[in-house]
Amino acid sequence: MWGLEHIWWVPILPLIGATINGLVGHLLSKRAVGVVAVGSTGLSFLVALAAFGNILGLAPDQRVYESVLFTWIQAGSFTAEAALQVDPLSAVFLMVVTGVGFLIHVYSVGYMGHEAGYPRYFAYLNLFMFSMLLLILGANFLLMFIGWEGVGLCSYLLIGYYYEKQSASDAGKKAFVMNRIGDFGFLLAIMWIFWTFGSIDYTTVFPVAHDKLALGGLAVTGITLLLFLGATGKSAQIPLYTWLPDAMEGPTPVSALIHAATMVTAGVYMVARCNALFNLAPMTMMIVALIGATTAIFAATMGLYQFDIKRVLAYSTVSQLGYMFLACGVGAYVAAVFHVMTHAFFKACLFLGSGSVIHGMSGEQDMRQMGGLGKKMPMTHATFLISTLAIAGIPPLAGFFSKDEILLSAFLGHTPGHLLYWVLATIAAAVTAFYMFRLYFMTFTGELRAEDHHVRDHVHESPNVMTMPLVILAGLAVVGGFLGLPMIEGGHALKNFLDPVFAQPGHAAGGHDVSVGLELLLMGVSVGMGVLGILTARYYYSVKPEAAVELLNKGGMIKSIYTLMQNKYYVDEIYDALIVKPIVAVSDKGLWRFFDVKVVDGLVNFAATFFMGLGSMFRTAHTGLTRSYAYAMVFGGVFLAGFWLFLSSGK
Amino acid sequence: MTPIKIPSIALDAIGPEMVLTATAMVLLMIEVFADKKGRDHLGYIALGGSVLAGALAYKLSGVSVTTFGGLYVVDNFSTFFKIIFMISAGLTALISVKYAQDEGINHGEYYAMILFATVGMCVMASARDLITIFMGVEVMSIALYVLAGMTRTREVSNEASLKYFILGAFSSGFLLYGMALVYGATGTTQLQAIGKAAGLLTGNPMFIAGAVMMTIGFAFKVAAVPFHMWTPDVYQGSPAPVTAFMSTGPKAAAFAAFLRVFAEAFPAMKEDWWVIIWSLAVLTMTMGNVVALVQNDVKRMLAYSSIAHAGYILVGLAVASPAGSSGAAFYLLVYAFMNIGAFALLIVAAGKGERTTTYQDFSGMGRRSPLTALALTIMVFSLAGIPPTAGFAGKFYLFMSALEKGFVWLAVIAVINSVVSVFYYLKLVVYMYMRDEDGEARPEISVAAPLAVAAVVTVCAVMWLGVMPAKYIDFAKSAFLPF
Repeated sequence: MWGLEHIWWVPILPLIGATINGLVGHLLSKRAVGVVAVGSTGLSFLVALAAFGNILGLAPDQRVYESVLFTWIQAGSFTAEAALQVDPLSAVFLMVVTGVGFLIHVYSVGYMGHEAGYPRYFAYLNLFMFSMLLLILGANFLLMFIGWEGVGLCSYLLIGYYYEKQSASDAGKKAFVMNRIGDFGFLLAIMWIFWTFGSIDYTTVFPVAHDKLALGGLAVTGITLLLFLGATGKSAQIPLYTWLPDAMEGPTPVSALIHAATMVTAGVYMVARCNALFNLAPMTMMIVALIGATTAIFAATMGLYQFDIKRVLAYSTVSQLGYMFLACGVGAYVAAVFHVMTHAFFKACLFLGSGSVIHGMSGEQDMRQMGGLGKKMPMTHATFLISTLAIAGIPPLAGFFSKDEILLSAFLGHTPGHLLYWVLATIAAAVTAFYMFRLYFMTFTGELRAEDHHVRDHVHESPNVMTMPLVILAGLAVVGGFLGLPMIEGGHALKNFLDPVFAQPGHAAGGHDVSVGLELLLMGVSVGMGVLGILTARYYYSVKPEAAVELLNKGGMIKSIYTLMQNKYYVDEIYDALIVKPIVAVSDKGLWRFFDVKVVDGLVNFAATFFMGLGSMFRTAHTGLTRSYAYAMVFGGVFLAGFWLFLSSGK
Repeated sequence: MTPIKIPSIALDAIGPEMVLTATAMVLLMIEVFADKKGRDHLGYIALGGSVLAGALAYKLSGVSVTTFGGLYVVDNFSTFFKIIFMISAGLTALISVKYAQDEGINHGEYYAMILFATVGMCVMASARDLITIFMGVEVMSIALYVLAGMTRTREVSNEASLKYFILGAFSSGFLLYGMALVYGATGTTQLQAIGKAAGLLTGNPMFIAGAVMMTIGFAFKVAAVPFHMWTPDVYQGSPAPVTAFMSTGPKAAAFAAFLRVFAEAFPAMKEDWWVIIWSLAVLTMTMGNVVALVQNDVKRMLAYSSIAHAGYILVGLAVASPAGSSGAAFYLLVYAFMNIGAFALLIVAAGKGERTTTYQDFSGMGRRSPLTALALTIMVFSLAGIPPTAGFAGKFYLFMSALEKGFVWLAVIAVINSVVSVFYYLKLVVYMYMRDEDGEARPEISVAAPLAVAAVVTVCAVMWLGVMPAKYIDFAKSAFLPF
């Protein structure tokens, strides 16, 4: 079938694009660079579309296609093939990644037009597409891991794109190191899986998981916890989330593509992919749901008082990812994937919209300088409003359907504490609506507050190459949710499509047994929360802006909560105080006085400082004196001989 | 009087060794007659000799002969290693051409010493007798002592040579003493005969002492902690191509002899020795990686990285299985390409007299010389074990052999170590791409043709072995030793 058989082209095309732009891009004209980058992604999207059509044409129980290119590594009983697998789950991700990816490439042509290093940017971006596609299409854990590493690397390179800025290269480093912590967990999990199953192929591991692993046993709990550790790093969940807001130092299209729509959802993909394992580990599921719900509310409140337009969106992304993990944790994988999809549409639109605003404001990102942009940037304004309504969960926009499904699943779930998670997530929905509309009102309504008259005079709508992707994404944010409209025979289109992937052996993959009345009630609650949030935001930031100031001036509780939130709960500072400071204090007193490490971030520096300190200690052993080297050898020899004699006398 | 019975000698089996020796002698003779300009081409003769010897070695794959009265064996194990040696020697000759001209050491003896050392390495891989092994070790080592001090006018080079010589002699003492004790305990120097006798000698102190001494000798040669102290100084002081050579070929040779002695002579002591090698492996990789973190000089960082890699390879030894020994062999092949590649690019960046080798000196390289920076990035990614480079396939195969035998902790420690190593390798990439030049004057980067060829060859090899390793792993698998 044309499409599925050519599935290899989907990742390869962007790789070709990356190679051309990376190697000879500096010799090409800007136009040619853009054509190569956008063209390769566009073609990749078309092939993916054809493959998706093929998959739809197959009978539901046969929708798994595997294409083996060659045997990559064979070692003893271990085989890893370079093979791609398309099934409903990867197909959904495939469409989101190539589709949104293509739009963002188009947008980038306009947005990055004035930047130096244009070929470098597109080479990285194409390389990212390749890695991300490998991640979702790989037929075994090893390929997923390669994609996983690849997207991390590209993200790191693109965050640090403006490397002249110290904050940008610091942010890049922070992202890289935090991700390494997660990746390490992932790698250990892969080793453990191989050790248990003797294979790392999805088609070998998942069907037998039910028989090989005891429900809630040590092995499956350990594996899934390690996998989830990997997911928290990549998808910015507590405790490894602090890198994502800093990652906003990268160019805005990158934030849209990598740090909102695709890469950060890789953790959700991985958990959904391994549902056969997670279902066997109730304890892990509980932790996943707990972390998800906590992150959702925690990050949402942090978004309340940020003034940088992109940072608000970043915290909102962390919070929305929390919703997705909450859904995974209560076993509602379909809802999680659904939310990945709708979130990709509206969040990409919001980020690109904020990029358009920043573009129009000559690079200004502080919302206190904005206001009244609605009149001057009508397209951006309209698309932004649609997406904001979508994320606030207002029907009939996409966000409403997916968020509502997650809330419903949490309410009805079997995971311990699910009602608490439901309460947290519902409150988070109100908070989300509030801070998103705060952003909207501050940016698009009222009067322009910028003082610099150059900026004031220069405000303009962005070119078509930038607004067209906005329009398409906003359109998707409107209709994307209809996939989740209930069908006659229970479930909805997306659910029916995805169910074969998530069916549990021994259990019929059925819908919830729920009365229509309860469903409507819950729906009413969540929409009510959203409307409440919007109205509050309208009151404080549009109708009566001075009320917010008054409230703060009253002092007391509200003031202190405000300060707490504005400082992001001091998490960076806590990491700093608990981990970095003590180590630095010790080093000042002379134990490790050799290193001069620049303090970047807590966890990062814990690892770095620890090993660096150790390194310096060992380094001093290298005096350069031959005689001390000879002594070391003698001592080593004596130790070795003693050790050996000790061992052999033991028998 | 009965005439001496000369054992049959299969000359076709030692073709590679003969070609290398002959080429080395030809080089020495040409040196006498060649004028200054003619000397510029000496490197290519050495390269040709290595390639020819490598081809002959490759032709011997599948052949299994024991000759010289049982002292010398040609099997897939030795053949695989010989191919590594020839790759190492050939690439070293290639990256030396420009360097030797610049530093005024393009003499016949420079290349002859590389080839003689390679002959010694071949002997080490093929020897089946303690005395023959020792002979190989010394042929190799003495040539290396000379090579380390080749740039006579540079003080660090002299220091490196002398240090290497003194400590090397010291370790040879250990090795030889160990061999004597083993001989004393078993009455033979033949590896397999020792293996047979060893079964009856469990707990014999003389035998154990001999085995320990030999372990120390080999541990020195592979630069395992705590016998690694010479490595950073010698690697940093020696001329860069020589360091590239020492860290690949001779290290592989030491591992070959180490593996063969343990597989054939001491299999009876497997139960005890895996703990020892396990500890050596963990110490070596941890120490190498941790100290590499705090280096400011890239050449010295690569020296510590080479110690860390010895630690990874020791994993294959500790596992003591066919998969372990072939994993180590494959890793050494990969390492030869990636480390020589890294050094080739270091030579490019360092300029004449190796003046600019700190991290700082690499800043802005991504713009000054994009292709050099890209190639070096691929090399350090491979050294760090990031897929899809060869370094990843090699590490994967090696650590998997540990998992298969149930050495879970060893594999986990090795993986943690690889994660740590990413920091210092990536630091180089960060300097190249994310730092602007600091305004200090640095020599213009110009890539001489032979260095460019070496870089292209190693980049292609590293990518190819990473993406399509199956065939080569199969070859490595046929080169296992029966533990």
